[in-house]
Amino acid sequence: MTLTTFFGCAFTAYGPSLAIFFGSIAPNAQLVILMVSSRAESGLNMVAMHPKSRFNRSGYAFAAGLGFGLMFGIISYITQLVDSLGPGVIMCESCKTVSLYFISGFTNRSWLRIAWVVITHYGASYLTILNSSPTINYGCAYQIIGNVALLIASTIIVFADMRQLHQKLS
Amino acid sequence: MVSKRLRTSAILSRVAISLAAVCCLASAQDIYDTIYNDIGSLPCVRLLNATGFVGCQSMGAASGVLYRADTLEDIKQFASDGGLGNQYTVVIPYWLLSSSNVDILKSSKRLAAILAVVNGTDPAHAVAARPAAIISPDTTCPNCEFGLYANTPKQYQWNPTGSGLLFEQFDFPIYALNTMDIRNTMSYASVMQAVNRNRDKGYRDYPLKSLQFHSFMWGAQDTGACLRKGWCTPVGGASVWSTPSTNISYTDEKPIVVITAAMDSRSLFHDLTLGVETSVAGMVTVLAVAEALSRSTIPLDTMSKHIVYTLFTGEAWGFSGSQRFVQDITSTPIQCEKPPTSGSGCAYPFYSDLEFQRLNPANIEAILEVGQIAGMGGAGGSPTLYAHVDNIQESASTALLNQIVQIGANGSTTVPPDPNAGNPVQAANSDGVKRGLPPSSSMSFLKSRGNIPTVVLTDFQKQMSALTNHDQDDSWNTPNTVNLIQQAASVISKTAWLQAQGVSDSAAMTPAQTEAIASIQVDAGLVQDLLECLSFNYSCPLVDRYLNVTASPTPPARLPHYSGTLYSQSQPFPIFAWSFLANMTSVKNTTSPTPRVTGCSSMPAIVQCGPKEYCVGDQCLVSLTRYHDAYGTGLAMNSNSEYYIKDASKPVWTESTWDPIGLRMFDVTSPGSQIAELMTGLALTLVSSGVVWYSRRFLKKTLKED
Repeated sequence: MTLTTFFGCAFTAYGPSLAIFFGSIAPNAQLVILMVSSRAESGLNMVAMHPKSRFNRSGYAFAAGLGFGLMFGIISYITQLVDSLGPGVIMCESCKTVSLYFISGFTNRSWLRIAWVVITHYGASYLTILNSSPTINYGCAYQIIGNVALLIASTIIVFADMRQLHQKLS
Repeated sequence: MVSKRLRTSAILSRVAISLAAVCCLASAQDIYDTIYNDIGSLPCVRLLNATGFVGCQSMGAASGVLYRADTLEDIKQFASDGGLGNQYTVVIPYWLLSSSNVDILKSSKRLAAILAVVNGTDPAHAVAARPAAIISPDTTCPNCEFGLYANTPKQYQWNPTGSGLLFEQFDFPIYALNTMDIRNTMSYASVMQAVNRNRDKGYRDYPLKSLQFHSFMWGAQDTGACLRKGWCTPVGGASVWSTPSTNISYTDEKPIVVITAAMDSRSLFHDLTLGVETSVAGMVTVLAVAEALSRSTIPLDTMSKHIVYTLFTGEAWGFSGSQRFVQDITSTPIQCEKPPTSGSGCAYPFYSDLEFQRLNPANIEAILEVGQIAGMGGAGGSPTLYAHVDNIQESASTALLNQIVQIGANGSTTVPPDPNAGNPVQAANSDGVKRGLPPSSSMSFLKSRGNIPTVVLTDFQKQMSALTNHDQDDSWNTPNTVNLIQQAASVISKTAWLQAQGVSDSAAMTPAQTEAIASIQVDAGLVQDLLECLSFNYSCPLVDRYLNVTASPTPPARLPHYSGTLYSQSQPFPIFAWSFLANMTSVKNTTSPTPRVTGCSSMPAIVQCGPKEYCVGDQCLVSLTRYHDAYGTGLAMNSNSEYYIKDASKPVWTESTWDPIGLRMFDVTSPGSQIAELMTGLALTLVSSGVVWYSRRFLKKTLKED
């Protein structure tokens, strides 16, 4: 893989997470701490700007989720990414002109609700099997569409939950 | 409730993350193996001499898409195809590797590296596809600048068709492919599969298979500069000398008959250096002579002259081995300033052994050398051997030459002379042209004293074999080669025996002498075994008997005959030569009343050899067989064990040190798709940033009243 591909893959894999981090976590020191360790939640609650706010929990959950997601993403893919600094690539079996690294970058965002979490996590992971399928043509495209659909569904659920919470409170 | 759920999921995720981390670490090597296919490497490396360097090197890691060129037309097509991309590794048959073809490839400006197929299963690389006209990659007169006639105005050119490829400088990597063992055959197969796939895709339809080479050489400029920086090591190894006269001394005034040959060779790819024509056949001849003479019913150490066998290493590098040997024996007695802390020899000036001081160069009365003798140079099965003599002091060698020709004409009982072939041994100057000696170790002796009777026996009269220092010298006609070696060994052993006995005319021999000379027979089976063992199968029973090589988990088979670098590489052939000669020249049955003690190697705890004995092939024996350091006489070691150039006019060959070298194969995507990948990544990041920014604003607005 060349340096061009390396940066392409790095941005694809970590760009969105970093955007969320810099956009909504980094400005709040408490969330940064939470992102790194969710166990500090109760302590942080005491020193929060609005200690009693029921929205804190959602915000904290969001930060903690991103933290896990990012951590998982880094642990899972940084080794491959480092390996990929060499000149070679693994080709994607189902889309024979795309490198597998590039495809893998799409697979990692998910949050909320145990069942949904489990389903989406497994779903997203299993969808990536399409990448290496030698029989399904354009498997990598189906995988991306599937994962983006999961992402949108998850986002809708989050917003629905937030709205529900908001309505309950008001 | 929500928080509890979240916490449970947090714990679960954490476990999952730890598991994933372990899996990832474990699979890092798998990923490497999935992407890369490491190919067995047979590199061309950089060598340096007093004035510059030769060989191959690349500054960085060169990599290029595999491209196949089987013919000169293919090479031209590659150079002229404007539709090709940036960098290519061109796979060519070895015989297309010439300066002019390399120039064509380089003119394309897209040559990254060359893979030269020495042997392959593809029809384009098979033995049958080799061109009839073979061109030696050495110069037109190999090593002649260090030879006896270096200062002669018009030296005879022994290798007129030599291309000088070995002395070219290549600023890109060149590696060989050769189906000589399982690993290299697999490498060849995967490279061919990849290059054929690339070809089928027209070299344009990505992904294509690419190959990366690491070939950075530290040594630069010349030997002097790189030795100062410590970036090169002298080319050399160990010569071996041996004599049945265990009581030989500097002052015994007994004449010495030297029987000699070279042990090493050179070629572009050192791992492939075989040198059956250049050195192996000669070495086998000397070993066979030692075996034949050991059968003499008159013990050799009781004769009126000493017989000394010498096998020189480093001969391919300006006669380094023989020149150093002659230089050392002529500087006796050695003034040892610093004795070694343990063992023999001298710490400064460095000598691994000092027993050579027992040889008096003034006593050398005859030199019998075996040069190229494998009959691979298109001798066409003709069993004729040519005896060469020096043309400056020719008269000194006339008697010896006549004796050899006469013994050759008398034939031997084991090789019935073919009546149609004429005399099996001919004087090389019998056609009236005095060419002098071909490049040989004897020159080193004659340079110090020109009137030593000397004969060099070869299979050529006017021109060296085209396979001289060639990488494709790997097929020969075994019966023909064995016959030539046996004939040469027979002639030399008998001549040496008669010389040692001081008999000039075989008609004047006593009955005991007649009986004794009849006992000297060269064993054709032994010649064949030695030839096989020293070329393709170092783990053969014969070598195994001496060195127990099959006890190794990976018994060696074909080993390179490149001498290697001094004191840093194992010396399999000198070690075997030492063991074999020690056995053949040791105090043997005829003089030793008791059978030899055996078991020193198989039962070391029970059987131990005496203080002056060696354990050779499981037997304790007394022998005067020694190693001798072999490296360029222009080099010397100072008291800090560093080498420096003492005399730049003498051979000073060194080999560059290098970083771990190797090559690996992998897929590459097209430059276009790489840019698309980067753009997608950037776009995704930008879009995400926008969404985050918008979401935050939206949430702030919606949840404002809180």
